[in-house]
Amino acid sequence: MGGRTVAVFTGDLDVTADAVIMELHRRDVPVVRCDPATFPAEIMLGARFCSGWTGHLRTGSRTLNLSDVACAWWRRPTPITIPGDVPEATWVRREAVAGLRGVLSALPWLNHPDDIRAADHKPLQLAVAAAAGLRVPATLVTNVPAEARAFAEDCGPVVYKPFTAGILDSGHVIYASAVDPRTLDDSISVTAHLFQQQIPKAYELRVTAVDGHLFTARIDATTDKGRTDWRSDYHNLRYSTYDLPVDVAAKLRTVLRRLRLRFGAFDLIATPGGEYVFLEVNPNGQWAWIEDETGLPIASALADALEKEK
Amino acid sequence: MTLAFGVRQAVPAQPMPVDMAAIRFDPDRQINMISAKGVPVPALRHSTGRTSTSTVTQDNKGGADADQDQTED
Repeated sequence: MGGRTVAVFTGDLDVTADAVIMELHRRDVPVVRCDPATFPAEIMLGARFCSGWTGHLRTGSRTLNLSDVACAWWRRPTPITIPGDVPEATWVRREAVAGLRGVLSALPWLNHPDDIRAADHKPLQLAVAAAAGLRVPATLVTNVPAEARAFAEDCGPVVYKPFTAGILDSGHVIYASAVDPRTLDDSISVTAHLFQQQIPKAYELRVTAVDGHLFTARIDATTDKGRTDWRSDYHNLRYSTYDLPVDVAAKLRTVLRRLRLRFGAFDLIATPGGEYVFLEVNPNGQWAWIEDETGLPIASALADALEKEK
Repeated sequence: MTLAFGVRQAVPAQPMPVDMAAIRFDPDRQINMISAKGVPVPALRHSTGRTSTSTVTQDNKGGADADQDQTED
C-alpha cells in the first residue's frame, strides 16, 4: 500500500476528529471519513490480494482506494451492528468484523487498532512505565475484600479508579476517588477493582504525544474534587503549557515505543517534592480541549503524522 | 444483588455544555456543523471546542475494540 489519502475511522459525532479533518482539508490532503458501524449494510468492501491488497471501501458519499492510503486513524468508531432478524446474526457480525478489520489491519496506522487494544491494559501500562524508569504508584487489582483492606492498611491512603470508561448505563460516572477503608466490604468481590496508593499532588500534567513530539499541559485544580480527579471538575481547572524535564520525556517516549504507539495521552502527577509519577497512558485519549485551553498545536501534529506514510 | 464497590463510587454526570442534538454531520465536509443564527458553522469551533472533546471519561471510551465488542468501550 502507500498513497496520499488519510482514512479516519470514527463515529459521526466525533468533533475531535473534525479538528484534524479541517486541518487536512486546509492542506488539500484527501480524507475519507468512515464509521465502520454501518458495515455491511451501507459500506461496500471489495479487496483483492495479489502482490498486495488493492480494492475499495465505499461509503454513501466517498470511496477509499485501499492502495492510496497514506495513513489510517482509528479514532472512535462505533460497533458494527447486525439486525437481530438476520439469520445467525452473531456469526454474521463476527465475520463482518473479521473481514473488515482484517483488510484494514494491513493499512499503515496512526496507532494500529490491535496496538491500541494491547496498550489499553492499565496493569500492562504500569509495568512498562516502571521498566522505562518512571515512578508508578503502588497498585492492587483484586476482587478479594481482605486483599483490598490489607492494601489500604499497607499503602493508605488509597484511591479507587475503574479500568475502563466509568460511564454507567444509569448515566452516572465513576471517577478516581479517595477510599475510606471502612467501606472496603464484600462489594469488592462483585468484579475486579483497581486501587492505588494516593500520591500527593502539586499539580498534574497531561502529555499528548504524537510521533515523538510531546505536548505538555499543566493542570491545576482549584477544588478538592478536581485535585482527586481533574476529570470530575472541568469548570475549576487552570491550564498552562509546561516544559517536561528531558529525562522524563525520554522515559515517556520509551513507554510509547514499547507499547508500539505513535499517539498517546499520558497522565502524570508532579509531587510537591518535584517527582513525576506515571498514572496512565491512553492510546486513544482526548486532546482537543487541551489545544483549546493552551494553544498547543496537537491537531496540526496529528495532521503531520497522518499525512506521511510510516 | 450486591452493588459493586466501584459502582458505589459513581456520581451523576455533569450535563454536556453543548446540545449534541443540534449538531449535524455534513457528509460533504465530513465534519459536524451547527447552526449559528441560521448559518451552518463547524461545531467544534463554534462551541469553544469543548463539546465532547473533554467529556469526563471519554479517554477510556472507544478505541481499539469499539467495533469488535462493547465490553472494552
